[in-house]
Amino acid sequence: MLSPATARELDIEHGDVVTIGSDGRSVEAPVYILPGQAENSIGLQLGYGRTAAGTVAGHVAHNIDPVGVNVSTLRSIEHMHFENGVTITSTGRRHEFATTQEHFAIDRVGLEEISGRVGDLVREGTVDEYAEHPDFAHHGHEEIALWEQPEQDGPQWGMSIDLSKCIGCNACVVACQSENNIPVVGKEQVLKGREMHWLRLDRYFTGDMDDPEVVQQPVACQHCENAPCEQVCPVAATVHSDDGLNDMVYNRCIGTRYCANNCPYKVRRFNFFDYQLPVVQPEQSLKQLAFNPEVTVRSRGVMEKCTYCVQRIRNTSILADNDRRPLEDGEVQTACQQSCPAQAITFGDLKLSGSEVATEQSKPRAYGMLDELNVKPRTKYLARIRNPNPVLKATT
Amino acid sequence: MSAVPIPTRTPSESLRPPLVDGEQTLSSITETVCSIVERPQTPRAWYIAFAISSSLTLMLFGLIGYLIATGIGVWGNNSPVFWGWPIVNFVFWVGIGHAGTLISAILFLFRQQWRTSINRFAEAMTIFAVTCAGIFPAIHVGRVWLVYWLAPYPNQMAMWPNFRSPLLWDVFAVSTYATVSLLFWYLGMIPDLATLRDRATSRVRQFAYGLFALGWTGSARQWHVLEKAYLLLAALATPLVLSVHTIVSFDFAVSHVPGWHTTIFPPYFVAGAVFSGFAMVVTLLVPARHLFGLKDLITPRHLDVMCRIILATSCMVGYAYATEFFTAWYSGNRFEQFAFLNRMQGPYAWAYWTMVTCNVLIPQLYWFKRFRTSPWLMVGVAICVNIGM
Amino acid sequence: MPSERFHFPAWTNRLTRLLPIIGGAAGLYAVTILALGASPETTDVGYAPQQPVPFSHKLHAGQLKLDCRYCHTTVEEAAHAAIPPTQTCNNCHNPADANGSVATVSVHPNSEKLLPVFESQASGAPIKWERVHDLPDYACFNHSAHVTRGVSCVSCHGRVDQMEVVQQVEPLSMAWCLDCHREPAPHLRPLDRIAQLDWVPEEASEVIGARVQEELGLNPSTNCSTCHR
Repeated sequence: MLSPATARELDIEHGDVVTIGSDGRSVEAPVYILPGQAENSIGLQLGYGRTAAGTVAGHVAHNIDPVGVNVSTLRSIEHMHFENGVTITSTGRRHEFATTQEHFAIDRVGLEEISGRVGDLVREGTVDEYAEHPDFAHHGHEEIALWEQPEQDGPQWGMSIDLSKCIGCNACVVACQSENNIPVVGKEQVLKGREMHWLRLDRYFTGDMDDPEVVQQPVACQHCENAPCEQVCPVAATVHSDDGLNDMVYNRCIGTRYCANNCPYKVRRFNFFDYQLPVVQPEQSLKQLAFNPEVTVRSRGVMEKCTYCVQRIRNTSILADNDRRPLEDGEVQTACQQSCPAQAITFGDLKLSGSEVATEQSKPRAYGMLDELNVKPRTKYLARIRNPNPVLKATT
Repeated sequence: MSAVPIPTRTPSESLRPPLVDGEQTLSSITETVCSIVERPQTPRAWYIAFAISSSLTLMLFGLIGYLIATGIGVWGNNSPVFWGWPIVNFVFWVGIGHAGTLISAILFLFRQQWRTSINRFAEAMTIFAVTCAGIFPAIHVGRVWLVYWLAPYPNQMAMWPNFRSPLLWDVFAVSTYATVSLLFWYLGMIPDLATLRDRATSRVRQFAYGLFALGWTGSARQWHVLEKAYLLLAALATPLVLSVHTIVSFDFAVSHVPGWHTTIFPPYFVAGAVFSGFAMVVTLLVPARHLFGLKDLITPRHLDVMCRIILATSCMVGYAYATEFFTAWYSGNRFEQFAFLNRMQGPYAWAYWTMVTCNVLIPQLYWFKRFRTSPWLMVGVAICVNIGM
Repeated sequence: MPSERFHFPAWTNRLTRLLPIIGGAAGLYAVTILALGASPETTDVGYAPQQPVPFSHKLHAGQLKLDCRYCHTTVEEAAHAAIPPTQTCNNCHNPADANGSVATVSVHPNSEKLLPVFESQASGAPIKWERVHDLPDYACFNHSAHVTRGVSCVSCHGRVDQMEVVQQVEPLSMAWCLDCHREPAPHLRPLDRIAQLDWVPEEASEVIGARVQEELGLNPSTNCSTCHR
C-alpha cells in the first residue's frame, strides 16, 4: 500500500508490480494506492502467500496457487515490524486486484461524481453541527403519500445502522455469508463484478486525497416499503410480507434480473453460474455440513439478496407462538447484528414501542439512504458524528 | 391473365410519378415476379449464400445450447449491467421488425399505393426480425426451463404472474405483434400463392401452392371477403405498430434506473424503430432489386420515398436524443445528469458518438437528391443507420 | 391451364365433418392434461414404499392405540417430526441378551420380521427407513407450528392408524397448503384431540375450528417467506 503522493513521486501506478528490497532481501508485490496511507511509507500485510493452507488459501503440493504474497521474508530479528530504508523498483508488470470497492468507479469522471454523491449517501457531521442542528442528516425529502398505507398486524421489522459506531471491519459481511449459504465466487467472478455478498461495506474517501477522511457504510437490502424490485418481477418472485419484509422466493425466480436492474441500492445478487455446484456434489458431503440447513441453497439463474435473516425471524416467532407469548425485543437477531463488535446494528420490531430499533430510528440523526426516491427503506442509518481530538488534528 | 395495360397515370395523379416503370401490364408484372421462384435451376450463388447463413444459424443454436447448459455468466453481464447483451439484441430486432407492419398496415390505411411494391418484402423481414427478437427475452432468463411461468395458466402453486411488471406486458405485446404480423403477411399472400399455383407445372408445386392458397379461385366474392379481412386486420395491426415498441420502452421507462426513467421513451422508441426498420428494408431491398431484376417494379421513386421516411425519423430520433439531455439537465437530478455525462465522456463514449453520427448526422445526407437516387450511396447510409442502432 | 389448377377436390369438403371431432379431441386433450397434472401419479398420492421393517401403523397406532407422539417425540417442539431411534422399538421388542435370556415382558423377542431392529440395536447403525412424505428442500414445513395450533396429524397424513403400510394421501402441493392457510377453520380441532386420528367432531368442524381459531388467536400467514426462505 502506498499513498497517492508517494506513488506520484515514485511514478508508480495502481496495480504495478514492484520489487521491495531491504537489507539484501526482496519480495515482489503489486501496489495498491490507498489514500490515507502515511506518506513515504509502504504498508505490507503479513499472513498471505501460504503454501500449504488448503483449497482456498493455497496448497502448492496440490497445484493450488497461494493467495497473495508472503512478505515475512522481509522481516528480521532486528526489524520485526518496521524497517527503514527499503527500496522500491518497478518490474514493469501489472496486477489486477479483485476488489469489490472500485466496481462502480469507472473512470475519472465517475470518481469525481462519486465523491460528489458521498455526502448524500453517507451523512456525517461534527459535534458542533450536531449541537446546533441535531437533525442535520435530514435533507428535506418529505414525501406525501398518494394513498394510505394499510395498517398491518404483527411485528414490523426494521434495522438501524449507527455509522458513528461502525468501524468498517467487515465482520457483518462474513457473518452474513456463513449464515445465508452465500457462495464464494472466486477472483475471476469478482473482477467481473459478480460478487455475491448480500451485505457490502461501501468505503469512500472524502476531502483531499493526500489527507483524506474515510467513511464507510454497510449496505444490504433496505427492505423498502415501496420496493421498486417488487413491481417489476414478472413472476411475482419478490413480494412484500405482512411484517414488512421484502421476500425473495428463490424457487419462483426465473432470473429475468429486472428486480436487480430496478434496485436503487444495487444490493441484489444474481447466480450467473452454478456457484454452489462444486459443493452440492455427493462426494462433497462433508463440505455440505457447512451449509445452514435453514436457508435454501440457491442454484444457477436465480436472484438472491439480504432477507433480514428471515429464517431466524420465522423460527423464533414459531417458538414464541408455541409458548403462546409475544416476541421479546431483541429476541430475533440478524447474523450481521450478532457479529458486529461495535454493536452498530440494531434490529427488531418498529411497531413495538420502546424497542431498541424504534428508539434508534427515532433519533434525529436517523436518515434513509436515497430517501428522495420515496421507496421508504426499512433500514435507517444514523449519521456519523465526527469529534476529532483538536490536539491530534493540529499536529497533522 | 389478360393483357390489360396498367393505368399508370390517372387524371388526378397526373403529377405523381408512375408506380412502376416501363410498359408494364398485369401479366408482365406477374411474369417478372413469378419467374424468380419458377427458375428451373436454383442459382449456385443462392446455395452458397444459404450455406453461409445456415451455418451461422447452426452456430447460433449451438451457442444457445451452451448458454443454457452453462449459465447467463457466459455473457459479460454483471452487477449493475444485468441485461446488457440480450436486451440490446432484443430491442434492435424488435425495432427492425417495425417496418413491415408499418408499411403494410398504416400505409395501407392511408392509401399510399406505392407500398404495394415493397410491402410483402418488408412483412417477410418483419416476421424474421420478430422471431430473432423473440429468442432473446426467452434465453436471457436465468432458468429458461421455467419460462412458461410467464403465462397465466392454472397451476398447483395457485400463482399468477405479476401483471404489474412491464416485462409481462412485453410478453403479451410481442407475441400479439408476431401473431398479427404473420397473419397479415399470409392473408395478403393468398391470391399470389394462387397465381403461383395456377402457373405451376409440376404436380408437387401445384399441390404445395394449392394447399397454402386455400382454394382461392379469384371470384369477386372471394376478393370482397379478402379485402374486407385485410382492411380489418390492417386496422387491428395499426395500434400494434405503436404499442409494441411503446411497451418495449416501458421496460426501461417504468424502471428506476437513471437514464431510463423518462417519459420520452415511448415515442422515441417508436420513431427509432420505424427508422431502423426502414433502414433495414433499404439495406435488403437494393441488393435484392438488383439481383432479382426487379428494377422496374421497385423504382427509384420507392427508394426515394423510403429515404425521406428515414430522414424524417432520423430527425425525430435526433430530437429525442437532445430531449433526453435536456430532461436530464432540467431534472436537477444528479444521478440522471451523471448518466448522460458518462454517456458522452465515459468509457463508452465511442459507442455513443458512433450512434449519434450514424443515426443523426449521416442520414442528413438524404437531404441531397443524389443520395436518394443513387442506390449504392443510399445503402451506404442505411447500413450506417443499422450500425448506429 | 385452368384444367391443371390444383383446387381442393370435392372430397375434401367432407373433411369439414371432422371439425367437431377435432374440437372434441382438443377438449379431451385439455381435460387429460389437467387431469394428469392433478393425478395421484403426478402428486405422489398413494406413494407407499416398502420399508426395511414391516412396521404396521394399523396395529400399533390403531389397535394398540399408541399415541403418535410416543414415537414421533419432537412434533410439538421442533420443525422435524423425529423418526424414532431403535431404542424406542426396543422398549417393547427386546431381543435375547448375550446369555440368551429374554425379558418376560418382551414382545416377539424371536420374530424374524424384527431382525433388522435387533441388528440395528446390536450394531448401533440406524434402520434406514424410507421417507414417505417428502417436501422439496425449498419448502420449510414446521411440525410444531401446526400441531400446537390445532392442526391434527390426520389433516396431512390421513388415517395412518388404518394403514398397514404408510402411504401419502394428500397431494402436498402448494395450492393444497394454501387452501388451509387461507381458510383454516374446517381443519382445526381442540389441542387435546391433535393425535386422535379417529376423532369425530361433536359439532360441525367449521364451528369447532372457528372456536379454536378464536381461542388461540390463529391467523395463518400466506406470505412467501412463511414457507420459502
